[in-house]
Amino acid sequence: MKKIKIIIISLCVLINTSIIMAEEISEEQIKQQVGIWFGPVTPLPGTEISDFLDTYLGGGGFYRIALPSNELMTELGVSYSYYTSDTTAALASTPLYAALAYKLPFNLPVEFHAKAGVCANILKVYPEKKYNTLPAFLGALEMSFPAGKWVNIGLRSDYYFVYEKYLDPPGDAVNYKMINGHFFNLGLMVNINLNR
Amino acid sequence: MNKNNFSKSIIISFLIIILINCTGKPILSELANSRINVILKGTYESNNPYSWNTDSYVDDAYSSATITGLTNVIPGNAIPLVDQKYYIDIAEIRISKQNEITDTTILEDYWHYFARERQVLCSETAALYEKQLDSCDTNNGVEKINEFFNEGFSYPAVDLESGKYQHLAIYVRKMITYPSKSYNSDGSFYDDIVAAFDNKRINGYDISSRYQWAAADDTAEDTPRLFPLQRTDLSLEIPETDKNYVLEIRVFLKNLMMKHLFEYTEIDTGEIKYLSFLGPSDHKANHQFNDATNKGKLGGNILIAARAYVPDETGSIRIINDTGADGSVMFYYAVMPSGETFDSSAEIPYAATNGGNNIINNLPEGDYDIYKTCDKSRNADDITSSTDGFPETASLSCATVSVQAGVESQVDLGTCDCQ
Repeated sequence: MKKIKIIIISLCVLINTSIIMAEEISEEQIKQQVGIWFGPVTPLPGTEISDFLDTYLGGGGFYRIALPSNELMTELGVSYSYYTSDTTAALASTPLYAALAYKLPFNLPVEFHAKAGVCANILKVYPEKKYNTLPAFLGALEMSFPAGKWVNIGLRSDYYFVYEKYLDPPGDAVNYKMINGHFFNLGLMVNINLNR
Repeated sequence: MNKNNFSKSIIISFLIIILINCTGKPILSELANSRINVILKGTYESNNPYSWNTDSYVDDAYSSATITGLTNVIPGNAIPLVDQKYYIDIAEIRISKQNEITDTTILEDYWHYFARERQVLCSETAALYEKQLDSCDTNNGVEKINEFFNEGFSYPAVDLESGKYQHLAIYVRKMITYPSKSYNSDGSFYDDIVAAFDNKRINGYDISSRYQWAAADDTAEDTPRLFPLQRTDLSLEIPETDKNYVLEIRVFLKNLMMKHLFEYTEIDTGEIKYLSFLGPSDHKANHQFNDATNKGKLGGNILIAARAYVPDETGSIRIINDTGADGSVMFYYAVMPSGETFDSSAEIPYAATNGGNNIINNLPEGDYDIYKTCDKSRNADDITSSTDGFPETASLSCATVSVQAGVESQVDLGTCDCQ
């Protein structure tokens, strides 16, 4: 637990420092975007959690600001994914994430972003209806192209690693197997440039 | 606050949220760990079942005047245990908090699909033409059928939402028994019956269609009795607990097997034939071997019971000073939650043990009425001198006992005879 907090705090400090130390620029120059995405979500095939859950649908929204720079932007987002199964088992996942999005230096009409970030993943498991918030880590790739001055259309793929093995098994459980979560989202994305 | 500072404060607030609440109980791991243990048993008893009878029962059809008047006698001997074989294919088990499916019911909302793994049980894995029953082999079906007819086998399942469930259904794809033979209209042997199981051919008869409809059911729209094999009147309380719990489902098959006889007309030739096969006795309604309407209807003779308990929170009842078998070949000690009615001729009890064992265990805390049930007659056949394996004769409630967790409660039955 202590390790997790240290990692998260370090990442928070890193992001905050980058924001605070960013070159003072007038607010009109700061590029900002909001966007939404929608698409299939799935437990990563081959991982333990994929034995219990099936692919279903998810969606989310995000806010991105060009801090500390236009090449390294800060992104905040939230999404909702619901995973079903062929039994009564199901999982609702709501990750709240903060990430740094790096614009890959390709001289193309299409923009590519690589992202890394941390999450608080609010999870609710069915049929027990138990919930908890777990630390998670995000790695993502995004491709988008401008559709006019204000709108970008793109495709994003997110990988979430949800860390649970640091928790203790329930006290009275015998042979309780602890697992982590590996999830993959693929979404069609539309974002709007708030200023240009 | 200008827009820039506002953005910064949103980001910092957001990151603070991330640090909140990273403790507590596992969530994802709940998916990988089931607290439920579904135990499926093929016995009347919930603990310490009788061993198998050495012979099957024989239907009174074999002593019918019409049959005995044939040129050749159709053998009416009992089938010894060593010659009996069973093959059972179960698609899944479902459960519901409701108890009625109507035309407007959305099945996905009605059912809790908690045990969807097909289970294939067989007495042996050898099929005809030197083939093997592969699914039965890979599912340890031989081991499972032995467990099924004794202390039960663990049916793969995921956890259930806590609460009261009323409807439980076992979807039996096939139930095949061996031996089964057919005879000509003069009583001479015609052929061994062959059935398909696990995509192979085996010697035996698929009795599932026979047990689908009950005698006197008027139309095919009446409730099927085997697909699914179900009860809609349960008060099954799934506990809200972090402890492991058991869902025990009992299907009364063991020591209920009877050799039956039906007359039928072969479709191709129009000839009269006789079909002899092994199946649960016709304890519920007598079937006449040549009754044009009801000869093939044995539905309702396979009964189920289900209950849930947390093993750590159960007690037991020890029965002392009982008068014993009370003239019956087989008798049982049974319990029902106090106040619940028990029709011994139409249902199997909440929990039971064989009459040679005097402890009923795994009982959740509460008050229980104790019964003794005996197989003293063949009620459906109106024969009092013979038995059919079903203990329809019961004592009235002999006593009421309070059970506490971890405690063995004793009850002195004194005079408690099957009436």
